[in-house]
Amino acid sequence: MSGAKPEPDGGGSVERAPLRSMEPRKLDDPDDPGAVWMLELQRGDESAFERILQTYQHVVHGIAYRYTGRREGVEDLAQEVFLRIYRARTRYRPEAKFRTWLFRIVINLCINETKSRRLRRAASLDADLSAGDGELRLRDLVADASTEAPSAPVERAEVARRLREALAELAPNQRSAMTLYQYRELSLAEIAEILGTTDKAVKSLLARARESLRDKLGPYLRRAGEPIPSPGGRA
Amino acid sequence: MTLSCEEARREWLRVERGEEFAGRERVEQHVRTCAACREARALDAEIDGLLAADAAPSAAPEFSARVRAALAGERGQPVRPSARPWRLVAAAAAAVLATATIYFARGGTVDDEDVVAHLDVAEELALEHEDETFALELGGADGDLPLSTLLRAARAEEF
Repeated sequence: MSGAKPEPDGGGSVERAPLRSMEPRKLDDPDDPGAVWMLELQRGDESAFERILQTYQHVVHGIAYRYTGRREGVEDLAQEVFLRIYRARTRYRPEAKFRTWLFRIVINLCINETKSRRLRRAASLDADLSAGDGELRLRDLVADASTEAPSAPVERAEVARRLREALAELAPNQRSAMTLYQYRELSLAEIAEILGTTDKAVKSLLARARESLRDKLGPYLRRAGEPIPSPGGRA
Repeated sequence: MTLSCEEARREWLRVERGEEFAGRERVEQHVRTCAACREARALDAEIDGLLAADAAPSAAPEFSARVRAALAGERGQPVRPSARPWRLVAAAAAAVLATATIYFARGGTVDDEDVVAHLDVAEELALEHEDETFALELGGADGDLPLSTLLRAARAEEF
């Protein structure tokens, strides 16, 4: 992690998870090697593409996984990212940091993939429903899992599953912001640049996403008997 | 002026990122003293921990070979003809037609062999690109003179 201060103690009673073990790797490089390699590739040096692949393949897989919440399909998505980079080599202009450009491609592909996957699934569910029991409604099948009463104790794996569901239910822009925010070396300004929006909008997206996740996961995370505070409450 | 919880939670993101900014003290003060925000922070931290614990898959060792193979596959695909050759075809065809127009207008004063040579070139180009819309391209290619302009020029030359 670069540049992040230790979190001040807020006095919360809940034991905190080891945030510093967060997976994303160190990507900061003042010389922006990705941009240099892209320009070399542009000039016909194919080995520069190999360097781009070797350096960024893991983080691209990571973002794709964190956005989609699925392991299957991540490699296909990552491959498409690198194919697009290669195809764009002649048009590339180092106007932004390479990783800003790269992450924008990843996020856009993730959004598109998730959207088309959802459409495919909805179409297939619709087909199943129209062929089957007329009493069954699509909305019953996709009802918010968080409305179900939590059974205690809920296993951590189950909480993780519910977390993935809750993330999947976020609006694409909130989900994009949440995905990128997990990469601690990305500043809010850089996340805003990747998403093509303002710092202020990113803060709002993240705050709303977190509120939604707290609402949905709070019942599974809190210790028995402890009240869940209203996210909009005041001091 | 006191901060609302909503503002404090938005600005807390900057604190988490280690940003120094005017008003940071107020944000920290709010979170220290507001039970609801402390609670929200604790939940956020727990959620962040879950996200961190869910390790993302790394690229497989053969991933870069896979990407290179896909690229090689793309390069091996037959290249679709670009629009540019059609400009040449259109220009050649227009030249042939202009020559033919002049030829007929002058009652055969242009050398027959010249016309035949132009027609051969046009036919060869059309066959090479197997284009069924060949005739439609004549006046439409960007940057080329339309056929009507060429014909007008031919008539002007004639008279």
